[in-house]
Amino acid sequence: MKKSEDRADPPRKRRNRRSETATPPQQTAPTPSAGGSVELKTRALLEATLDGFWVVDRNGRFVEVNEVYCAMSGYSRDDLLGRSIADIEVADGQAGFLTRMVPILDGRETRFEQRHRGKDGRILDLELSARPEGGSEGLIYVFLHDITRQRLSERLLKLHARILAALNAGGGDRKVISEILRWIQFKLDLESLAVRLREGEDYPFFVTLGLDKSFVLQERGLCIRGPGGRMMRRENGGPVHECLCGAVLEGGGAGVPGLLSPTGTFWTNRLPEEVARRTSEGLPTGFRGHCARVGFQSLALLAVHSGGETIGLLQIHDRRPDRFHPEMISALERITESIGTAVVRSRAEGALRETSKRLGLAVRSGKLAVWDWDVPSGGMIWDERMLEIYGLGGADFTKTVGAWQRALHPEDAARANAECQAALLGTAPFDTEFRILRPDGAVRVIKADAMVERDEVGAPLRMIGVNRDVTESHRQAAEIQAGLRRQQESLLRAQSFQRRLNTYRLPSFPGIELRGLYVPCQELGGDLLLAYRNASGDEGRFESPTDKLVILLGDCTGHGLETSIYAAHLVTLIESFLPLFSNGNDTARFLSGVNRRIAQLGFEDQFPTLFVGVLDVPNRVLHYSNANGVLPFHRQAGRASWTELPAVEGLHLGFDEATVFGRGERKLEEGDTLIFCSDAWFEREEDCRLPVEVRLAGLREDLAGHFSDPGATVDRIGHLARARFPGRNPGDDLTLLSLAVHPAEDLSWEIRRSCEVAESEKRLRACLTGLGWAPEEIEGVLIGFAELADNALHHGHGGDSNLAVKIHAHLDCERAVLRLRDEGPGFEYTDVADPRDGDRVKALLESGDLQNLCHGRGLFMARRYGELSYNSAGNEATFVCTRPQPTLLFSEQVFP
Amino acid sequence: MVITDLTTDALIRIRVEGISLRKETTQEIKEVVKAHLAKKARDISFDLQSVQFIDSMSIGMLLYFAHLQKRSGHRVRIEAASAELKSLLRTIALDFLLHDP
Repeated sequence: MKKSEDRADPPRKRRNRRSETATPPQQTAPTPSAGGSVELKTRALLEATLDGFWVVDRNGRFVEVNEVYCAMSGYSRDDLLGRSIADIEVADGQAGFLTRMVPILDGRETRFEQRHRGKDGRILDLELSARPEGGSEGLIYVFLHDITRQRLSERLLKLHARILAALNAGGGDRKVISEILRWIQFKLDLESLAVRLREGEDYPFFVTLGLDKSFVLQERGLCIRGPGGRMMRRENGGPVHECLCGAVLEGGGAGVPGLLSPTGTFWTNRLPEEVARRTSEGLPTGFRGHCARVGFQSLALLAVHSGGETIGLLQIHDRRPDRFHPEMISALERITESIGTAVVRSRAEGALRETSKRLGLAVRSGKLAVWDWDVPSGGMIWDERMLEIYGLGGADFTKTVGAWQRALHPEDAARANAECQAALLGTAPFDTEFRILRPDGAVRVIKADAMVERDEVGAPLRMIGVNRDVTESHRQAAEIQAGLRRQQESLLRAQSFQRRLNTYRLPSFPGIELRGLYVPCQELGGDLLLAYRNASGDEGRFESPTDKLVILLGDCTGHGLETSIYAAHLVTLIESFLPLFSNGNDTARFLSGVNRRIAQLGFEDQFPTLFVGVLDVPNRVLHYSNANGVLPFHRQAGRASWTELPAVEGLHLGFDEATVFGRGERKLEEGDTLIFCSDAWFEREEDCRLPVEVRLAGLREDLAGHFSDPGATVDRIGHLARARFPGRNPGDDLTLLSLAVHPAEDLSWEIRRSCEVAESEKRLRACLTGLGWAPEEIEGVLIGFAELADNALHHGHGGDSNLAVKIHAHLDCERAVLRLRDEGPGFEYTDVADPRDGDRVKALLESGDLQNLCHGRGLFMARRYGELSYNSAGNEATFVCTRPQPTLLFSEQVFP
Repeated sequence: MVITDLTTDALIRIRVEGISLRKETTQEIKEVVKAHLAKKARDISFDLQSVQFIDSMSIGMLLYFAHLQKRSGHRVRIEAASAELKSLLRTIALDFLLHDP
């Protein structure tokens, strides 16, 4: 017990103790120059001390050595005197004594450690205390304390710690065995060790320590192989193992009786002699003798067993003879058992780790959360993923089943609890879905599975389960379902749309019912033109509740049904915004709403150029929305260059003129071209144009072929534009009329009396109101008409009611043309007095000639409100009222 | 068209509300004013603030009363007129009817 305590002493404590017991060099060091009695006493003292003692000169040569050191090192005094310290130092990287000479002589280094090799080759760990003697001879006195056992204990402790660390770290059996071999090597001072482990039918090296690499390569397998590496086998089918190792592994068979220990271990301290002796007796099959040739004298081969099965071999080699004795072999056999246990356990742990790793990977990749419920106590354990899914911090989790129950969504709580109870009772497995309500208010959908562990009577002890957050997959499934529904609806809508549109042709135009034109996409080679407005009684067409015409001009990327689907989407979109018209006639809101929605839907892939416009018929203004980044460019007739009109907000198309307006307002001339140009998607500039050629003449010819009744039609067309779509592919080129909408009224009637004038006025007022004329615009028309009618009745007919004034009115959105023809002789209307003559007026007032005072005033009033002309006979007046030009007020507020 | 009779003992005052003054209304106004004048000769004032259009018969009515009042030593005036009406009266040299020409 005392011994072990000494070995366990820490170095520093040990040194202190030694300092207390050993004689300090400065107090006891002999002085060579002292008298003989003193020298004798000193020598006696040095011989009595427990520590070694040297006296060396400045060259590191021994001058004096005591017996203690001789005992430590195995050298005699005569062996050492005159030799250099360097001869006994172990070159292990530490500074040698001679290297330390200068600091020793300076007194800067007085204590240090060194390793010496004893005469028998043993390594000695020594602590040295050196002091220079100040005499002329320059000697150095050195005390040496043997700390070999202390250092050995420390190294062994380190090796133990490494073995334990390897076992605890689970670094695998290779690491554990490697540390065990290291410990054996150090503890037993052995040269080299190796462990072979069975791999299939052979036993390759698993760990080696101290063996030469070439030896390991030559001896890597134990099975004898024939030509081509084919394994040689015994009669029983088993492989033939080589050399002595095979004999050991095969339990002492193979004709080497007597070499093995009772437990099957082979060992020898004189291998060459043993081989020579056995050669005469017949060597085992496949004896290679490689170990003997390398020079190993001591050799031990120990079988590694596990569960009665040989799983490996421990080989120990040493070139020194006599390294083994029976007790050591017995100890090594016990260690080999431990190696077998370590291998098996390490492999089992490795397998478990791999399993756990795979399980963890599966849990993580499946985003599984694991919970464990101790049913009797109600305690619950959640892993981090559970806490994450349930939105709980570690401190918020109460570690009871109540935490789960509280998290359940109120609508699912009763069902989930009932399913949990059923699982505990064993009536149903716990395999369900439920929703949870997280503390942050989020609702998540959980897929849960669990198994129940029971005691011997079937009572539930433990319930272990996993949760998986399937919210996202639920959402995706719902989206897919909704997408499928939308796709189905789109398909149906597109089919309906196509059926409807394929039968859609220009109307027969009996009156004024040109309201829209659609050309199916496939006929356009990818272009879309759609225009529609309210068309009373025209079933199946799109209707807007106002007299505004919605226009879509698009360049489609695709053809056929797919494009029709998107076109149907567009039409549905347009229709959904049409109520804006009935609510305040808000064109701006309509366009901006459509514009935003188109942008949201990402239709640019289908319609890289998409022009959405509203033709405001009464105001003769085309509002457009460049939904897909369409920029307008203008080119004047006969010029090559284009001008970008970035701030154009609308296009006014009239019979006589056209204007783009907004901040980039510009009047367009005949032959000018506007191009609405997509700024994206197309690679070639010429592919991205959607030109609208403005033609101010020749429209009647263009339109003639499109109407069954051209004459009737053209008379009614007041506002025209022509859209031309040069296709990208041959044959795509398309020229179509686009917009031709202009209701008109032609009326004819007669009057004979003044009282009928008022009735005529009512009729005209009604018609003009229907054509969109404002009350103040109508009033001027009516005053002019009444003046002319009265003039015809009173002056033309002289009040003769037998005579009739024939009236014809052509009324449209732009003009009111009235012709009044009486049956009188006519008059020279240029001779009528001018009511603007102030002198005349004054004179007539003075004279009281009221009749003349009123002369010419009726015609004057008619001229004030319109253009008046007479035929040459002077009995037919033509009165034309043109509506004032609309005020084109479009600003940022219209297109925000 | 709405005609409002605002006549007092000192002034025959007629307000016409509507965008136009036409012969149908003129006849009605003429009768009202004549009735007042029959009782007592006074100045006549017309409020035509909202009238933008006027026909020749209405102008004739204004001239008739102007002539009539001149004979009795009283005046006819238009105390409020729209811009359009003022423009017209100036054009046909009847701006002397305006109260504030």
